[in-house]
Amino acid sequence: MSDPDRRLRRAHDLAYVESDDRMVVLRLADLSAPPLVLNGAAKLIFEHLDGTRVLQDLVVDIARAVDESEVTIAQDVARTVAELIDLGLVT
Amino acid sequence: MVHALVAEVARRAEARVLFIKGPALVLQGLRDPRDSVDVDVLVDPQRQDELLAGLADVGWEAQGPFDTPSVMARHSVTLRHPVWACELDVHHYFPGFLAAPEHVFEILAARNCSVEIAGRTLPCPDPVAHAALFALHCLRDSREPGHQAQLEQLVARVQAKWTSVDFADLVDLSRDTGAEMTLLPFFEALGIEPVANPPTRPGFDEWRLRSQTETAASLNWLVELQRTPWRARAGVLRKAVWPTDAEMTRHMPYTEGDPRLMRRERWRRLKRGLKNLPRAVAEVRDPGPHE
Repeated sequence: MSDPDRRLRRAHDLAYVESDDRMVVLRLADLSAPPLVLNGAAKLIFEHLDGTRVLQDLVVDIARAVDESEVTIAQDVARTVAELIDLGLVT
Repeated sequence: MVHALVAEVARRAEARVLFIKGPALVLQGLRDPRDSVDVDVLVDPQRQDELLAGLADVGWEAQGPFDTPSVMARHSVTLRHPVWACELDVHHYFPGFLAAPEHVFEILAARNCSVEIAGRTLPCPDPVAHAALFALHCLRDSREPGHQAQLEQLVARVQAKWTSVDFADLVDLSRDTGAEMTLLPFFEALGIEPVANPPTRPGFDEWRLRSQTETAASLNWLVELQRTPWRARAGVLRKAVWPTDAEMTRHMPYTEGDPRLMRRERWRRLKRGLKNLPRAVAEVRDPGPHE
């Protein structure tokens, strides 16, 4: 994730079903691939990816949601977002 | 989730589909929420092969072969997938709509609306058409208590919400789709005036036989025997009475490789069939309650 001003949003070709503790996501671009299961922080981050936030906004909102300092979680959030981008779930 | 997958495969296959029953019906307020086991989709009959091929490409396998007889022609193909824990029923027509399947699909597709499932906007019949379809689903096995309860629930929901315009629309729809007679019990339960002097529709006798009888398996075999030319009847009778090992395995997979269990299940099946035979004979002669 090289551009800090990039607004993060879910890819448009996803289907997802949410339950209390996890989110199952299917990439419609690759129907042969099994669905992905997001839980914990990955689910929380994915839920916040509505196209209005850049990475720093996301860190602030996630820190507030989990009651941690931004410094503590910043690296984890950045790494998770990078993984979600690699998986094709985030644009 | 499988709804979204099917919609994507259908888009690629250029096959129009409508999602029926299940969550679409719940979202339209026509049924109580419940865990759906199957996904049901109605496909443009002229593009069914393309949809099935597309689904096969992503791992969905048709279940079958379907070698047991049925009073009514097969209306769907059931598919399974090693990853997804549900069955997918692809319907090329819906029993009870007795007009030509292509015509019925065009009517339902023209009235389509959409529901949000798995984050996607997916097509389904509009509430009036969906209620008619679900009523037919219940009425197809009208002697089953579960279906009777579902129909009662549907009637209550419709009566609580619909206006006279909707009821008139339902009657018009039944005329357009050849469901004037098959939906008659639904009209009666709703207290609305049915279509006057409906035409005789091909397929109505089979519908009546299926919807108003109880001895499904024995009845199916009896009807199959009646339909089979004399010369071929011995083969049908053999299959009905004493299926081969391969046939037993197909229908009762748990008997595979266990000759004793298979023999026992064959005898059980035969006893059940013989016990139901007198009632099935009566039902063939006169579909309706046989207490």
